[in-house]
Amino acid sequence: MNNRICLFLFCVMIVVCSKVNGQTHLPPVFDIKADTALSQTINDKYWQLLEDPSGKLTIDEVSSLAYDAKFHFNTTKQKGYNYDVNTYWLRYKLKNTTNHPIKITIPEGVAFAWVYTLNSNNTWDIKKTGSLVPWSKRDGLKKITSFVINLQPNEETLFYEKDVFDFRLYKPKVFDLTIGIAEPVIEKNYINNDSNNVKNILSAISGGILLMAMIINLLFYNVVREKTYLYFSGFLLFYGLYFLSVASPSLLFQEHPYINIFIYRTQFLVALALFSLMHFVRQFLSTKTYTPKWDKFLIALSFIQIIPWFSIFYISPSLDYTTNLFITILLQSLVYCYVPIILITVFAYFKVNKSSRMAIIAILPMAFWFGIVYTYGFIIGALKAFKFNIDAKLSDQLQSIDGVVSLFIFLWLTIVFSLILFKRYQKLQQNLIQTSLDKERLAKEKEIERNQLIEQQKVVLEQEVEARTAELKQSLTELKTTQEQLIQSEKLASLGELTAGIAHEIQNPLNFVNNFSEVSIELAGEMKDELATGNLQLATEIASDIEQNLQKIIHHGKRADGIVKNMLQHSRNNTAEKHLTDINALADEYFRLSYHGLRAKDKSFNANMITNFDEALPKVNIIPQDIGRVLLNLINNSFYAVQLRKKKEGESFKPEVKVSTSQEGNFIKVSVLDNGLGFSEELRTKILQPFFTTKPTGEGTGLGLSLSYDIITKGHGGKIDIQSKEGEFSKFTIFIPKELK
Amino acid sequence: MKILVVDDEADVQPLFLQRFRKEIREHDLEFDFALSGEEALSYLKKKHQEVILILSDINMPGMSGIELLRRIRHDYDAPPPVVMMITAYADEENHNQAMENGANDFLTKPLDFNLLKEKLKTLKI
Repeated sequence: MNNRICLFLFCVMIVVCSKVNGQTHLPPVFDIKADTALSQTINDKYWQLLEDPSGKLTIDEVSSLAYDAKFHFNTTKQKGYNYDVNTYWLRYKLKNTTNHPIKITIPEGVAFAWVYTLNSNNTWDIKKTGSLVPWSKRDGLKKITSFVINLQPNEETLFYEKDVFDFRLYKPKVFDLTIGIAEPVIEKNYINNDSNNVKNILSAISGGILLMAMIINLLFYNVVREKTYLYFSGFLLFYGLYFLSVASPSLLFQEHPYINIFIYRTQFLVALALFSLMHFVRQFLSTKTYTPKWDKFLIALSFIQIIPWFSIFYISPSLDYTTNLFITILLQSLVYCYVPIILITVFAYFKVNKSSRMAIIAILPMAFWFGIVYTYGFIIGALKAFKFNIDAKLSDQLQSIDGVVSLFIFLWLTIVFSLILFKRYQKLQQNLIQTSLDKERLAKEKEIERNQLIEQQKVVLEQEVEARTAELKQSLTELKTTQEQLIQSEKLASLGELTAGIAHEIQNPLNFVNNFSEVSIELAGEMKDELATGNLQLATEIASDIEQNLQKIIHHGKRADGIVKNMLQHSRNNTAEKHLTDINALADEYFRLSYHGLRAKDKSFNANMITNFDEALPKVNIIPQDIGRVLLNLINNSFYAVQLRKKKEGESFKPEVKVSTSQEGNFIKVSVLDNGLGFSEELRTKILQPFFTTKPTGEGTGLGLSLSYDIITKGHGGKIDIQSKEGEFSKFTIFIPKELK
Repeated sequence: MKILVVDDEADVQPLFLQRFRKEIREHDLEFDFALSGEEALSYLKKKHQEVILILSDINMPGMSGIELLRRIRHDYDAPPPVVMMITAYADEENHNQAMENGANDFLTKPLDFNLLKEKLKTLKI
């Protein structure tokens, strides 16, 4: 047990002590003799490396004695890498042999790099940088990912360095170590470095112009809704973004280096831009309609060209350096060189109009530069990669101006296409205006046509209406005539019914006239005898009898006269004038006329006639024969009704018709009540309709009550009230205003 | 001899009275009048023993002469009064109806008073 503890303590001590001086296999010190050179490569005998396949070793472990012997000099054949291992530890000693402090830089091309130096407190100073380290977490010179370290005169410093590679991004061939002198490095990369600025500014300007052009194209699209503009906007957007990303990748995604790397390495923005460009061409030339073959080809190509950009990112890490390079060059040249050439061919094939020719002019520089210069560049690059000894001066020169040339190529493309599209827009607008004008004209014409049609129809309609009106007028006249005839015939019908009654009524007074005349003659003879005998008293008696008789004769003569006059009035057609009339007398007269009329027709008929007259009834201003006709009608109906019931029920039934007069407010009421068959509520609603009758055909005109209603309501401003119970009674009451206008 | 004249015309009364003034004066005949069948029946209820002859109009409002006749024949048979019907409508049907219901005679208007007098004379005997 004790032994174990002792061993443990011993080990700890060793670890602690060995932090500085324990190592025995350290490389020799590299002396920095001057600070004038920009950079110097440190020969590989001055530094050692340690593979760390797990990537989990710590500085304490690495600097311990246990790992001391594992550090070794680069033993690979080409002084290169074992690509299977990502993480390497390096250690080297540097010494400033000048008499002044020197600031050195250690540039790092790797994904992540840490450098460890011991400070005066005997602890590790740690610095970090690398292309995949977010900007804010980088130490030293961030843009060029270089550490900056101060070396005091004659100071000897031991460096541990941890490098983590991402061979997908960058696959260096030779593993070397360089240090730079800070001052000239800063001068070169920052102070005197304009090339980057120029490139950035140009790219930014291009990006800005392209994005502006995109906005304008989108506005065009918003107006004309043509997909051509949309695809061209897409092209401008992606190329604009590409330029912006080229201008300052570190600015856009400083804190997200992976995105930056992805954009830069895959150039997927270029892929999307070319995709949009090809579809723009499709829309522009309407290839779908005119040449479906070309159309399909372009669609296929637009998708295929995307593949290389991404495949570079995903395929290359698994390939060796040479193959990788070869494929990259092949794919990129395919896309870069031949897409514009194909597009030109398409346009040439279509050389149908001015805009096609202009499109060729727009793409021509792009095709030339990409198709010829890039191809040349790629071939040279490929040959170089395959170790052919080739003069690459021209290629290098072309590459150095590539940025500027590309910029102008794309600006040219954008400007010319924008011009074409603007012209197209103008044309479209003109067409649109023309179309709307045509539409308006058409609408106007249509409206005129419609108006004419309406006018014509109006005339036709008016004619029709006139014809109809004439017909209606004719019908109306006929109707009026018929109505008058009907009224007349109704009058005649009631007159016919009256005739027998009238005859009886005249017969009676005539009988009296005759009888009283005869008896008066007798009396006159007697009076003579009495006078002869001198019996004056008796003679005087007889004389007064004769006088009385003569008055009776006059009375009955007048009675007959009145009846005849009434009859004449009744049959007269024209509307008679209104007279102050005794309604009681009128009702009585027509009651009797009706009775006798029916009596004359049917000898077996009889009915109890009851009158109940208000003796105080004032005379009213009416047309007597009209009201008389109404009363006659009502009474006739009543008699008819009781007669029917009598026939139905036999002798036990006592027919009764009651005519009564009374006053109610401003009205005089005349009611005709009978205990006849009556009628249902349903019939009650129809009873006033013209031509409605319950009598057998030929017996009634169906106009009696309807005319009565008119006479009372329209002729005299009165009303008729009808009550009935089927099988029991019916009661018609007419109301005549006392003050008739 | 008491005679009841039934007629709705009131003027019949002075006519009869004048026509038979001699007979009345000499108390051969006595006249009473009713203006309707109903009135006649109520009269008969009280005085049917006195009345020997009834002269009735047929066409009257309310109870007709024929109805009156029927009632008389139904109600008063001991002794049965002589009933003569008078009408303006001297047609066969009226006549038959009257006779069927037991009328003793049938007279037409205008009344021939001389004929009536003759008939009364025969009745007296």
